[in-house]
Amino acid sequence: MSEHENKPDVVETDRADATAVETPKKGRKILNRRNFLIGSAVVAGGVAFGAYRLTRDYANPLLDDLAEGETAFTPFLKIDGDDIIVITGRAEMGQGANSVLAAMMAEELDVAYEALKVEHGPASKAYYVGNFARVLTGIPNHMRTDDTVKTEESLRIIGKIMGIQNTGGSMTTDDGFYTMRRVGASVREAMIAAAAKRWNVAASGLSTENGHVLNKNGDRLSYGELAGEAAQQKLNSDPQLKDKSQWKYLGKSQPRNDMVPKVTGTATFGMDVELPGMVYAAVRENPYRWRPIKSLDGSAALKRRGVKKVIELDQGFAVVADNSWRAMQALDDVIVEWDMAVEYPADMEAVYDDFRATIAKGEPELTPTDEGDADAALAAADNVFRAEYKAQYLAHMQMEPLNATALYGEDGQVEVWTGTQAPTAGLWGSSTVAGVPQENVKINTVFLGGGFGRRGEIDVIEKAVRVAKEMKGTPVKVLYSREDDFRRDYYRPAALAQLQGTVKNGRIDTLKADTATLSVMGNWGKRVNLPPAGPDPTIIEGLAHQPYAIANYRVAGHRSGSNMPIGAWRSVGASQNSFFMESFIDELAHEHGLDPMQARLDLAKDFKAPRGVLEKVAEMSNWGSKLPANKARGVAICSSFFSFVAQVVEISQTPDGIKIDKLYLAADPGTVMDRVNFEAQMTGGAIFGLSQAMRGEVTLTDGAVDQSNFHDYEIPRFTQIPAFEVAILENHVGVGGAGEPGTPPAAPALGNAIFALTGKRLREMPFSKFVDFV
Amino acid sequence: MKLNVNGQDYQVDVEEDMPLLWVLRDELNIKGPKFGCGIAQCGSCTVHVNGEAVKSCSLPASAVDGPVTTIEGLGTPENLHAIQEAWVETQTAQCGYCQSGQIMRAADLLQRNNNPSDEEIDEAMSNNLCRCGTYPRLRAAVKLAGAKMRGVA
Repeated sequence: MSEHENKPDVVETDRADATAVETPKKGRKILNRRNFLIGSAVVAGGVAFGAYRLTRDYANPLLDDLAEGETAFTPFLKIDGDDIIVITGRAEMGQGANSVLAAMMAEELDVAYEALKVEHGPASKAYYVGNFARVLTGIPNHMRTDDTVKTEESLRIIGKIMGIQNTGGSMTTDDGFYTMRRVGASVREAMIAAAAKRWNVAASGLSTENGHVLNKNGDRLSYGELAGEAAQQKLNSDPQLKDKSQWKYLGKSQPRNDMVPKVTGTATFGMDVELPGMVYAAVRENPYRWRPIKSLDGSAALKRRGVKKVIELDQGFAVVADNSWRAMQALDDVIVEWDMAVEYPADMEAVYDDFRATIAKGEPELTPTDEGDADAALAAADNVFRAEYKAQYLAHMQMEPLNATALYGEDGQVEVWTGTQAPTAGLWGSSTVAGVPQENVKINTVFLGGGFGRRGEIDVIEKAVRVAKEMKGTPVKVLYSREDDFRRDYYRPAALAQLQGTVKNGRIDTLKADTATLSVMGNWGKRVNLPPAGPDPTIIEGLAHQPYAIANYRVAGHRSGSNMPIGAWRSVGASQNSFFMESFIDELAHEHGLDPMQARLDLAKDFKAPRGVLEKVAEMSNWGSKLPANKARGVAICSSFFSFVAQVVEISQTPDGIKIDKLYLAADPGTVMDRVNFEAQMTGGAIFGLSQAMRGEVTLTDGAVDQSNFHDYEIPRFTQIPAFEVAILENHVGVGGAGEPGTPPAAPALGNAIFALTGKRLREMPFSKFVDFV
Repeated sequence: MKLNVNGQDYQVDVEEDMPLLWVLRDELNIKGPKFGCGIAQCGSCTVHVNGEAVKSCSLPASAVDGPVTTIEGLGTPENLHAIQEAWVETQTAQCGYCQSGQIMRAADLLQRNNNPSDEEIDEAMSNNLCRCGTYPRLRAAVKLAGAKMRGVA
């Protein structure tokens, strides 16, 4: 809790506060005790901060660092003459955050999108994730209405109190849609007010156009000219926002502002940061996680050309050299003895046994979906179908291996350059490791060569500061080889689910799921200084709250106490849970002779948006039409991160194995900001999902990870990619996620297609253990 | 040892087995070619030697026997190569880390044959990995780039 130096004014906040949110129409109870507990995983601790902090804005970090001539408006906007600079506070890791957030600003500020400059900005609570607590409503996405979206907005106060700057959870677009547009609109109003004052006319007669205020007499002033005076105006906290019908940039597609740098090799990723006098440090740590080293002898490494220092770390060592390759090579010269004690189930059999035992204890951590009476229905039925599913550990394999550059100044000032999803956590971690106050730390966030959750961890930042502390006055880039990156990953947790279900009158009537896995929020939260959390919704997301009206529908999430290092992997719990859910729905349908598409449509009938994406993929794929004997298709749908995505995968048997021919995808996130970019997130997300379904697998032998690089952890290659057909629908309310929701349905859709083709039901990933792929 | 990179001569003093990638990145400060795997699996480090695509993470600098071209030598932000234009028009890059390598791989193919078949595109582009999953647009970009180089787009 060292992050919060200020003592809270109110130590105990009445939890009844959380129930004071509006109740939506139809009388649905939205914040019962059970739902509150789910949400408490992300807000526990946050509620303990007092009323005074609720209303006060965080200090604007831009004011510390303004260049001459620059004017800052809120933490999100700077104007310097003709330069209008948007500060996103969000990582650009490929998802297009820089572009979509800039488009939101351009829309309401009324400036040309192309003219905007974009910076990430400093690490600061001022860039808090405002929609962190939106899950507190406990409303499944298919029950979301305009009213419940308003309720979510009222919960932004909790995100503000938490003060966490982070890029993840597919929350950026929704959060920016709230913040960026309001900043843009209020600054535009301030520009008009400043011009009105200068011209001594009524503001109501003035308009704006592309960064200028216009008077009816033809006079015009640029925002740059007005910036100083506009900054004297009090910004309107509730400005009038444009109606969707008037949008110029949003809802259309803008060329990404990072595209030209990225195709010319001029974009600076963490790996490309270069500072005068910089040295390079490669790190190797104990593959037996959490364990120390027993002994270290770096003398041979020191004899290698360019090697400057060998530094002992808590769980490993670093070699500092004048060149990255020399540093990495010298790692092998170091003689190290690891402490090889194993603190978690040491092989995959033990991993799954642990999960079975966890379920058998019968003490679920959360049961967020509990409709009807599943146990009674199962007891009364004579045709209960049961199946057990398994999901493997997975590595992130972001293209850019982890790295961070740090300079620990002789004066106790610490500066870090890195691509991170978690700047404020990085600030805390740097400060803790360096032993200096957070005010002495500056974090510069550059482009991320992929994040996928891995860069939401701060281990490499802490390592860089740790090494820099031994090299005071010299900037050090700490980098991991691919192998060291792989072996120190925080993996997608393995999981196991036991499902039971019945069909009555041609309709799925009961579905009971018990799943056991590790807590992502609990594990990651500990590492990034989140307060201790309650029940973790990532255990059940993708299984619970699915858009199905099933009479008896119960999902129980069981938390394993395993100490395996795990973390968030694109789409988090939904990545495995959608595989469990949608494979089982498919099994139930087949067992009872139901068409898998129709069985789903029957369950989603009353929910317009999810029904819409199912109908759309059915139409696109010509579902129900006859295929040649060597071809088959499978379907799956998942509601995750406030978007619905349905996929139909079409495959064929070839002499070289199964080929994935085509992937039809229909998505409904509600309002779409940029269709071209959204489509890229959908296809990329689906390919990420195929990567776990086809070949991705991290296994353990005697507690050590077996794989190490792309040769034994295969991700899809160019020739293994299906043709895509994508439809983007906007039937739903709100602004749903883009980066993650494309991932979950890909694995079950493929598995269901393989069943349709071969009659082989695959209840375990990766499928390459059971079938051959081209 | 002597190297010619993007038309410029360099004299470098490094170990014979230092891979070309690290000479480019850490000795010459040419950061376009990326480090991804170190074992010639991912292709992020792809550059041209004598006009042919090679994975520079696994090529000892001492084995370089001709001029080297990196992404920086293909085109610049102010003066994009037709292939880079095609990447922009198709909005292909996501995180972008692999794209220097993807583009240099495509350039190797298209400079030999600006009208490749699907099979030829498959064969060339299979050398490189992308974790964001930009593959559908990569395929479109290679085709558009070929058309541009043939003067039909």
